[in-house]
Amino acid sequence: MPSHWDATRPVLEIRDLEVTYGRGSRAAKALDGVSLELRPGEIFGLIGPNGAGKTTLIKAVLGLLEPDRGEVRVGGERGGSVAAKSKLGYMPELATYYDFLRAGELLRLCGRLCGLRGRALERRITGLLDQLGLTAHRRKLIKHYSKGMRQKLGLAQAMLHRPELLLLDEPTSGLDPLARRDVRRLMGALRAEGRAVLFSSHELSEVEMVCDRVAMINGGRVIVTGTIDEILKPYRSYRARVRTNQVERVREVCESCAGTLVERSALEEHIDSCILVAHRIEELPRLLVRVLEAGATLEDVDHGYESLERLYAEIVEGT
Amino acid sequence: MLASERAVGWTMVIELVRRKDLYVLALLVLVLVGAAAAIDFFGVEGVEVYLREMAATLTLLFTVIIAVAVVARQIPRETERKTLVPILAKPLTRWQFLFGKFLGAVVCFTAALVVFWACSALIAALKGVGLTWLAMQAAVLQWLGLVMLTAMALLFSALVSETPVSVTLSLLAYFLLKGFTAHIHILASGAAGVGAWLMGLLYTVVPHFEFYDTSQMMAFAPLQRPLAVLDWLFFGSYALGYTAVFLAGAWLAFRRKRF
Repeated sequence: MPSHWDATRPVLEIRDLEVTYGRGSRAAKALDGVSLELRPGEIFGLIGPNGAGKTTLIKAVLGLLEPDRGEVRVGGERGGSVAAKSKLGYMPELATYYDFLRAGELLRLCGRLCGLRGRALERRITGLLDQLGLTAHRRKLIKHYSKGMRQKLGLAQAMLHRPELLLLDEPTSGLDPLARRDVRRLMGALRAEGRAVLFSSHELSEVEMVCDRVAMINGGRVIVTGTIDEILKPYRSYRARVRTNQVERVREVCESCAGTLVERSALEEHIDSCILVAHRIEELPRLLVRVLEAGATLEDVDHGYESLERLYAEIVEGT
Repeated sequence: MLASERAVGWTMVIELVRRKDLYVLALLVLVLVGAAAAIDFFGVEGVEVYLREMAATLTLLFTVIIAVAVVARQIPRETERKTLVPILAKPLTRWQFLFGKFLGAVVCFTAALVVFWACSALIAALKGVGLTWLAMQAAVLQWLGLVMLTAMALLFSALVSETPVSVTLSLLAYFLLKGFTAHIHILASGAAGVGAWLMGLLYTVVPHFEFYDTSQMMAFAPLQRPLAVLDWLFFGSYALGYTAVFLAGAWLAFRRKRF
């Protein structure tokens, strides 16, 4: 982390942010009292369905739309100010750039807008194009780039001035699995350098893999926020795999225990085995004893989480 | 100095060079002025008058098209194509972005003006007709008028959200103002009372693009005369004044626009 950065100070502070589109009877709140905080070296995932307010939130951080209420601060600077924008890099969801330019020319333009000049800028451009595997395409017009190449170029222009905070809107969209892996590694490297990344994505498995903390947004509000462990804690489950040739008998036992011995349980049925799922650690032995008495044999016990996808579906669909 | 503005403006110059508009219009100037020169071949007298008028008129017309095509579509098209957002996310103010666009447009139409005048001068020279100081004077006046026009087109570009609307409004406003403002004082002389006062006010307030079109002067010898220093001061400050007003309007329209 560069010495002038303060590791204790949040890189991004969003307080009670409210953004409304339209006026009068057509007014619709795109963001409704959103508050978030990002610290240096943190990868923060923003998840939510289409139209949830993720892109609006990123645009408010960039100062592309003035909030109706609330405050955004980037590295202590007012959101949207030149000082704040010099501390962040942004990669848009749709990697659309001046397609009549070549990659080197676009990066030169972006570098100059960020105050970079001369040999330092050229060295940085060469390094980034090399890092992202675009060196061979440096002189090609952007209009001839594939979607994946444009995404990489988007990352390059966002990282060009080594910002403290990167706002990446769907950075892996349109990339092949290996390129996705490269982007994940890149985010890891940015975290190791002490940079913060705000990362919006629909790829929940990727969010689980990469992010230190996540916020789930729906209808312009933050529904849940925290580390993956924290937000999935209510969804923790304890599982026991038992072998049996009487799956129906096991099901009957489980049903008879529901509401008496265990509060909530589930049963995953297979051909010659079942998985008993309890949501409290003390409930699993009670359930297991009854099932073993019914002639089943214990094979394995473990615990885990239900996936972020399940939580996402529950929140979005209200299931 | 003005590093961000120059970077934004330079992108417009690259676009002009890589698009085919400028080359097509330069070719058109060559063909049309060449055709005017060919009239002499059929024995029509006064080829000098034709050539001078054609050169001045076509040069201005095509440069107006280039200037409007370059600048009026900037903000609506960038908004439509979503190229605006990554640039505005960079550390520059909206004024810097707008002024950069303005500077880029000035460079673009200046290049077009030079190319078109060079084409006209080439054809005229081939016919043995000189485009002496009068052509220089016309070109500089055209340039001042085009600076005003560019700022006005940028204002429309910041106000409306669709490219064709912005381009049409800019061209319409330019040709209407250029065609009719000169006649307002004639109408005023026929009116009385409040009507005359309003006409006078209108004549004073609306921008006079016709001040900067000297194609008639170029054509007809009796009207040929060099402008005095005071004239230049007037035309220069008039164009700069309106340019400042249009740019301020564009900034007001653009500074809080949501993207």
